[in-house]
Amino acid sequence: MKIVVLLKEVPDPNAVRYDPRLGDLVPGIQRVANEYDLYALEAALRLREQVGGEVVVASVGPARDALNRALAMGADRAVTLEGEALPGDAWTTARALVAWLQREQPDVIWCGQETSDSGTGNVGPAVAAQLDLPLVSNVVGWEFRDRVFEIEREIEDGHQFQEVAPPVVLCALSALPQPRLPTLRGIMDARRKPVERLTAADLGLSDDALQPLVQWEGLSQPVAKAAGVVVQDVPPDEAVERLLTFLESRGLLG
Amino acid sequence: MSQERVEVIVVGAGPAGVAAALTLARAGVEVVVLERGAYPGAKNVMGGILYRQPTEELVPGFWREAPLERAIVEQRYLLLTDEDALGVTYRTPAFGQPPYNAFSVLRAEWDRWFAQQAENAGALLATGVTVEDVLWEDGRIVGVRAGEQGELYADVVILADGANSLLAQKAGLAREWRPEEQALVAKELLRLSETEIERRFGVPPGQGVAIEAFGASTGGLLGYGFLYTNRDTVSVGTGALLSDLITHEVNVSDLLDRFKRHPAIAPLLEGAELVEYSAHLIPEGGWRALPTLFTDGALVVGDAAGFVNPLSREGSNFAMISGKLAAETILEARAAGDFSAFALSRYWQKLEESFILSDLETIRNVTPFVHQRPYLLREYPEALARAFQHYLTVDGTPKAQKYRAIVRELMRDVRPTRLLRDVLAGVFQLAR
Ligand SMILES: Cc1cc2nc3c(=O)[nH]c(=O)nc-3n(C[C@H](O)[C@H](O)[C@H](O)COP(=O)(O)OP(=O)(O)OC[C@H]3O[C@@H](n4cnc5c(N)ncnc54)[C@H](O)[C@@H]3O)c2cc1C
Ligand SMILES: Cc1cc2nc3c(=O)[nH]c(=O)nc-3n(C[C@H](O)[C@H](O)[C@H](O)COP(=O)(O)OP(=O)(O)OC[C@H]3O[C@@H](n4cnc5c(N)ncnc54)[C@H](O)[C@@H]3O)c2cc1C
Repeated sequence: MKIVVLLKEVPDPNAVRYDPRLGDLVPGIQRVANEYDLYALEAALRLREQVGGEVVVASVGPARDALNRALAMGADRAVTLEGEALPGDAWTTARALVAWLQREQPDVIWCGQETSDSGTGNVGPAVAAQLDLPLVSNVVGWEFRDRVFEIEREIEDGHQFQEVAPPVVLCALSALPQPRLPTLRGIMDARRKPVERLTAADLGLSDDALQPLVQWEGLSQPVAKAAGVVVQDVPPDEAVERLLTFLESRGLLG
Repeated sequence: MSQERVEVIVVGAGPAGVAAALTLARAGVEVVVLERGAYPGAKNVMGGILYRQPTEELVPGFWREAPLERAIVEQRYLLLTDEDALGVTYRTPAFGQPPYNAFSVLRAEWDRWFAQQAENAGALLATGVTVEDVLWEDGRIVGVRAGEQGELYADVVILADGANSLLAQKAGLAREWRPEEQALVAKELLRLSETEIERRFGVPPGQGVAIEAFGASTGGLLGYGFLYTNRDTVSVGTGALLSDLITHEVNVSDLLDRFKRHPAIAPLLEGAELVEYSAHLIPEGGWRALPTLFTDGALVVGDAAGFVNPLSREGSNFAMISGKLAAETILEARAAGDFSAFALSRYWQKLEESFILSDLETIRNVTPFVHQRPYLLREYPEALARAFQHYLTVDGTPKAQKYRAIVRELMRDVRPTRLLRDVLAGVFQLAR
C-alpha cells in the first residue's frame, strides 16, 4: 500500500513571540513539525507495519528538520515542493500537493487536522476535494480490516464511527497513539533515504495556477480590552439595579 | 542485527559538544551529536556573555553573521549593601568597534546557530535523543545507549552533557558532586524595548552593559548578582554556592527577588515584563573537583568536566576550547589508530598548555579564601558605604574633622592589619 503523509513545518509553538515593531513574529524562531502531522505519520507507519508498502512524506515549502525527523521515525522517502508562489494560501498549498499526488497515486493520504500557525484546517479537505476522494476529518481512532477503514472521529457532542475504503484522505487529531521517538538506527538510516526537491514548474504548475485566494495582511496584536464589570453572587433585583446604573453612567440608556 | 557505528559520538549540543563536533567534521571525521532537547539551546540557560577571541578560534569572523545581542562596551562592578551601592565602571568605545571584545547572547539562538556551523561542516545532529548510559566492552567505552531509542557504537565518545554530568558518573569518571562544588543560579529574562534599554543604560544601538554585583545581591554569600543587556531583553540573575544556600537556609529565587528590588537595580528593570525564569547549576568545584578527563574510548569536556571560571563568568569559552582540544586529541589518536586511554592522555597535555588548567589552578583557592573571610562580602560593603555616605554628606562639619571620623570608623570596621593580610594573601594566591 502506498501511504502519503502531508507534513508542514511551523514555528515552535513554545517559542512563538510577536514583535509589534515588525508586525510579525520575531525572526529566527526554530521551526518544527506541526504536531498533528506527527500523529498522522505515526498512524501511517502503523498502517505500513500492518499491511506493508511505503510511507512518503511531502511538504510544501522547505522543511528540512521536520522531514529528517519523519525519515528517522521510519518514513521511506520525502518530497518537498518549492517555489516562489508556495506555500501561498491553503488553496495553493493543496493545489501543489494535488499536482504531485496525481503522479504518486497513493492509497491513503494522512494529514494533520490543522496547523498550529495558520490553522485553517483547509488543506486536507481541499486536497480531497480537488482529487475527488472521500475525506474523514477529526480522526481519533482507526482500524484497517478487509481493505476497509473503521474510523472513529470526534464530533461536537460525542464520537462518530465510519467505514471507508481507500483511496481516502484522513485528518489526524492528537488522541491517536503518540508519535514514536526516532531510534538511533532510524536517525542513521535517515541519512541514506532519498529527499526529492520539486518545483512548481516540475509539476507543470504555472504561476497563474498558484494565485492565492487569500490576501495575507500580516499579523497584529489584539487591542487589550479593559477588564469588564462582573456582577456576581447578588440577588437578581440588585444585579438589575447595578446593570442599569452602569449603562446609565455610560449614557447608553438615552 | 549489525551494530550501528560512527567514528565519534558527542553527547550534548552545548558549546563544548558542538565545538568538538565542528572541529572533527571539518577534518572529515564521521561525527554524530546526540542532544536531548528538541533543538540545541532549547532548554539552555545563560546569563549570556560570550567572549570574541576564544569563539573566533572556532568560527573566525563569527560576529559578522551570528545572532548576537549587543557588543558589551561597559562593565560595572557594584558592591551592594541592603540599600546602598558602590561601584567601579569601565567603559571603552574600543569594545564597541570590530572585532569587539564580548557580546551578550541568548543561548537558544546562539547554540542553534553554532550547531548549524557544525552541521554545515558535515556533523550529524540528532535532537530529541537522551543518552542514558555508555556501553562497555572489554573495559573500554564503545558507544552509548539511549533507552528505547537504541544503541550507537563509536571509536570514541565525547561526554559534553553539561553541569552535573550523569554520564561521567555512570562511566566511573566522576564521583557524585558535593553541594560546595556547585553554584545554583536563578535567572530571569525580562523584556524592555530596545530604546528603553539604550536610554536607561546610556548606550547607543547595538551596544550594551554588563553588571556584576557583590555583597547584598547574594545576602553576603559567596556568589554574585548579574545583569546583562540584550537587544530587547535583559538577563538578570543571582547565584551562590549550593552548600551556603543550604546552611543559611536561603532560597535562590528569594535572593533574585531581593536583588531585583535593590534601589540601585530596580529602576533599571522598572516595567520590564517577565519572559522566562530558570534555574541552573554551575560547576564551581574547579581544580579540586576535576573528574578523570579521559579513559579508554572516552573524553570529558566543558561543564561536564567542571571547566568554569566563576570569577570571570567564563564557562562557554572553557567549554568551546576544551571541546576543540578533545577533538584535536581524537584526530591524533585516529591517525595512530589508537583510542586507548594512553593515546587520549594527550588531551591532558593540551589542556595544560592552554589557559584552561592554569586558570583553574590560579583560582582554586578563591572559594576557600572567601569562605574563611565571610566579612568580605558582608562587613566591608557596609563599612565602605558608610564611609562614602559620610564623605559625601555636606553637614557643616569641618572637613578635617570629618575625614578623621571617616578614617577612624574605617579603621574600626575594616581593621587595616586584617585588610592588609587579606590583600597580600589574595594577591599571592592569584599572582603566584
Ligand atoms: C501571501 C500569503 C502570505 C502568507 N504568509 C504566511 C506567513 O508568513 N506565515 C504563515 O504562517 N502563514 C502564511 N500564510 C498562510 C499559509 O501559508 C497557508 O494558510 C497554509 O499553507 C495553509 O495551511 P494551514 O497552515 O492553514 O494548514 P491546515 O489546513 O490547517 O493544515 C491541515 C493539514 O494539511 C497539511 N498541510 C498544511 N500545509 C501544508 C504544507 N505546506 N505542506 C504539506 N502539508 C501541509 C498538514 O498535514 C496539516 O496538518 C500566507 C498566505 C498568503 C496568501
Ligand atoms: C545562569 C548562568 C549564567 C551563565 N553565564 C555565563 C556567561 O555569561 N558567560 C559564559 O561564558 N558562561 C556562562 N555560564 C556558563 C555556561 O553556560 C556553561 O559553562 C556552558 O554552557 C558549558 O557548555 P557545555 O557545552 O559544557 O554544557 P551545556 O551548555 O550545559 O550543554 C550540555 C548539553 O547536553 C545536553 N544533554 C545533557 N544530558 C544529556 C543526555 N543525557 N543526553 C543527551 N543530551 C544531553 C543538554 O541538553 C545540553 O544541551 C552561565 C551559566 C549559567 C547557569
